[in-house]
Amino acid sequence: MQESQFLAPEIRSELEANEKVLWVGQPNAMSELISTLPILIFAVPWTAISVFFLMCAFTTTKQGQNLWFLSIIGVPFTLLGLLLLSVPFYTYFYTTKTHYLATDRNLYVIQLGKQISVEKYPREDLINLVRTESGGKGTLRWTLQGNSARPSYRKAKQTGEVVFKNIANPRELEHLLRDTAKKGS
Amino acid sequence: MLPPEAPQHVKDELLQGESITWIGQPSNKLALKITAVVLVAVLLFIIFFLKDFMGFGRGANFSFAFQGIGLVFTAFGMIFCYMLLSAPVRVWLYFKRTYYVVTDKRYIVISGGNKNRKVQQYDKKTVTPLMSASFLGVTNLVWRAPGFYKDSDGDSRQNTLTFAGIEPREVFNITSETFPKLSEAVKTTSPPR
Repeated sequence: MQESQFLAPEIRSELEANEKVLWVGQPNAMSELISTLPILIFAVPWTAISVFFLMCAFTTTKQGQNLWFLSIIGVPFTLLGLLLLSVPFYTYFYTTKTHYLATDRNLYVIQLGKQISVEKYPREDLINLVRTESGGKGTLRWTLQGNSARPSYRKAKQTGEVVFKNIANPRELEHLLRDTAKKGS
Repeated sequence: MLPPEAPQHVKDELLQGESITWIGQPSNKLALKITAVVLVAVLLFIIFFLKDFMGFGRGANFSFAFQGIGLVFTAFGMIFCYMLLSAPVRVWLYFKRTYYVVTDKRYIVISGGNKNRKVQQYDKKTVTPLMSASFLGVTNLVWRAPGFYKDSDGDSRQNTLTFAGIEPREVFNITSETFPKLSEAVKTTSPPR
């Protein structure tokens, strides 16, 4: 079991009194980055063509008249391209700020940053686990049941599930949670 | 009691003291039929659509920029062809690597091999029989599971557990629960008029 005093103060302050931390983890940022590769592959030619169009709009003249006004079409496409190019970076930094926590009573999904977001799910409300694993990493996905009117369920209510995404050794965590649930009951 | 034919990765999924009451895979008949349908669809697509693109631009004198764009299109085309040609193999492997396990506590669906694996676990108490449907000479059993998921359109859909391609004679070994027939299930789930 992990001692809660080694946790960042922002995370530690979210725990209930006498709550024992069993496991702390984060999504694998590199895996998340790789999962955005298709977007990047699409974004590079998209942005290149958009920028090429913009350059053509500013440099081409027809019968002595400048065609800069065509950039009105090119600008939104270029902006969208830049937005798509930023997706991998945003995903990477978002992932490095995400923390998963399993205690003897609850599971937490904590998002650190300027605004701290804490989702807290009592373990008895999580059923029917789906585990997807690949090369030692994987995802655990629980269905949420019970009192979904709780404020911290707002995000999970949109999807109906609680996800620990791209964590190391998901099977070990699954076994740990099962063992501790048995002892608890 | 664990059937001896259960592979190790299936045995590893069991909890201490948990015993298997039934284990099976989608029927070979169904796997063969669906793989054959996918194979025929892929071949037809290649014959009727891709053959026209094979000789596109041959003999033409393109500028350097167009050659670059051509290379990008060729790369995407090759990925597409790989996905098309490997589809029947992937379908076949999916069927051969899928195991349905019924234990005294849970229904488990295990798909994938040793490296990439998906394990769906449902406590027996949480699922209710939704329907049974006969398809290509085999039976598909569907349970309603708690919770929902978002489909590709963003609509909420009820979670379900499916045992696909079960030999009809095996259904009684899997569960003693009675499943509504597909026609009855449609009646009960259609909106009131």
